[in-house]
Amino acid sequence: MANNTKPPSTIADLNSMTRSELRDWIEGVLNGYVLVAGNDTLLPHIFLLQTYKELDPKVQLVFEDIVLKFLSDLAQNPNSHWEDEPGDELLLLISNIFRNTFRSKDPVDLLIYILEKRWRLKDKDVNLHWRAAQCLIEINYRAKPQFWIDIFNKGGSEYSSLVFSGLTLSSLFDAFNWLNKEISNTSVFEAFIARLPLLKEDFGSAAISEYINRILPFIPDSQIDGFLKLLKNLGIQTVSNILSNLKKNDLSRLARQFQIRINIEQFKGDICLTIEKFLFTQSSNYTFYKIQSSDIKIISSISEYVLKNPISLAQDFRNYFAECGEKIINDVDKSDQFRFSTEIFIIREKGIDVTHQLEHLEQLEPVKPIEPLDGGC
Amino acid sequence: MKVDEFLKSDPIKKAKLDARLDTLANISEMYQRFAANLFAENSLTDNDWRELVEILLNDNLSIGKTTFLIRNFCRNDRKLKGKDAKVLNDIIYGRLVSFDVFCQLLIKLKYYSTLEEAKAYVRYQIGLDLGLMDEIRKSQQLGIYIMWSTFDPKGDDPFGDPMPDVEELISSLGLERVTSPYLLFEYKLPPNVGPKIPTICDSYAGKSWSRYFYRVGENAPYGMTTPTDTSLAKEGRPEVVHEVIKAENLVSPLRRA
Repeated sequence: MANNTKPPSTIADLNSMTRSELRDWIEGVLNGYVLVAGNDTLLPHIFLLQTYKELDPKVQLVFEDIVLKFLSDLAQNPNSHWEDEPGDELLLLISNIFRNTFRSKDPVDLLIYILEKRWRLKDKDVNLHWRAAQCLIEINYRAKPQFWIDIFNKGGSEYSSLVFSGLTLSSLFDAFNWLNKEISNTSVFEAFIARLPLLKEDFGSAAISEYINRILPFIPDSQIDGFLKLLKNLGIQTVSNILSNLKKNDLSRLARQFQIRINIEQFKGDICLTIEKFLFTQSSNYTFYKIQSSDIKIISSISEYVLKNPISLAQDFRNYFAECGEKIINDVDKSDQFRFSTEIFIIREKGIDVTHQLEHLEQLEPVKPIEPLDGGC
Repeated sequence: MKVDEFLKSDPIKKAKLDARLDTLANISEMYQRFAANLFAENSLTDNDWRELVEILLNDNLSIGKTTFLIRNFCRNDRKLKGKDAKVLNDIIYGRLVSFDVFCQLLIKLKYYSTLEEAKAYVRYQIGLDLGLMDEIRKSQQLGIYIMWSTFDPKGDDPFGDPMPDVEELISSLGLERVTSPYLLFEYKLPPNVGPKIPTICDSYAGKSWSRYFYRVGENAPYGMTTPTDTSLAKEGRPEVVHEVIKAENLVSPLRRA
């Protein structure tokens, strides 16, 4: 066999290599030409990372320079031989090495170049464009929100987890704003779930719960039960968690509140509406809507509608507003101003008709005139 | 079929192969193990041996290129070539994986956007009642390409009861020690996944080769590991390979070893 030289077997062997020998060796491991001894789960980049950590500091710098050179080739050479699985391992190696070095910004420009100019890498067997974006996040590069949003808009759902993570690096506010808009996208929702434990570790449950309360109303019905379970396991308090501790009898209290609030509203005028949906439950049986409005016509028609159709409420909400409240909802969305002048609570028990409960309450507590409140929209 | 049987009508080629494997065995312990396992292998077909012997007898290839081609041969279509392992039905299998390596695997599979994110999620899952595992996580793979598992032939706890010290466990499973803590996975195989006796193709398909893989003999009911450190563990443990399974197949919460 040709070139039957023994591969380096110790760290000392590697420390004494010339730059080109070390380059060939790293390239060989990443490409699978140089085999390493290890378990089946030992991917090349993990092996190289473990080795890198044991090298002399001066050799580590050479090691870093070598992998940056490989990255440069991947980014700028249209015929680069890194455009496959070895390139994937290379990017994973760079993520792991540069995450913790004082040179962490060294790969940034090459990675941005890949993200902006090398979209065709997305269509290879191994999506190196995606991996480059991941690498950028791993080394804690804080890009402008629009940078990540543009990637999502161009790359699609596949990039959801990266975009959400990238946004959280710069601003939780921006990240949750984006989440609010995209949460009906399953991939985006899954990306959010995947990052939640880390967000809790990094920011604490109090800070996170504030943001979660904002997005709760928009979480798809199909996901909400599992999501509330996850929040509970993580110890994140939300409005829903608090409400879930209410006993079933409290349903009537909420329903009463519903009626009282309606009457308060009868004394108000301007148009201002926002809807939030919270889900509360001990056994996932209730959907709880909080409607905030100061428009008497809307309130009256909602209350009338709800009392007549409590079961179909969730499904028909949008349709209903499409008929009677679309303009107002749009106005609110555009102005992005939430006016909390009053509240209505509507309760829906999944699969169980609660109409009679509401009607029953109505009989028990007939609507009483209530003093008008100051303020309003 | 064994390689000796395949080459019995061609003694010249056989001698050449012996010489080649001797050369490889002199390079390192890893290649020495490979050569021994090659002669013990009995699950390859005529065509398989033809292809593999051709790679090994090519004088123009460097060691790197030879091993690269062997690896490609072994991973060809990723199909498990071993015979069905003789194992009790419905038993619990176990796997010991380094926390860091497992999280790196999740990153490789693109389940998480960063290593820290993966680690935080795995930390959250440690000790978590399986009933509380969310649907997204249930669908995640626990391995990549193929999986190696241990078990108790009598159907008891796969890691033993009481479970040995983690160092002993690592050694008895033929694993090379890494610095991070280890995680224990316990699961049942779904009906469409069967345990197989590990072959050289299973062991040498990756970019890293185990120095401790031991190809069991023809009549062995299942594979056996070789301890990495006999001062820690005197004996190996039963092992099989199988297709990659998902977290939904776990039968007990993830725990630290």
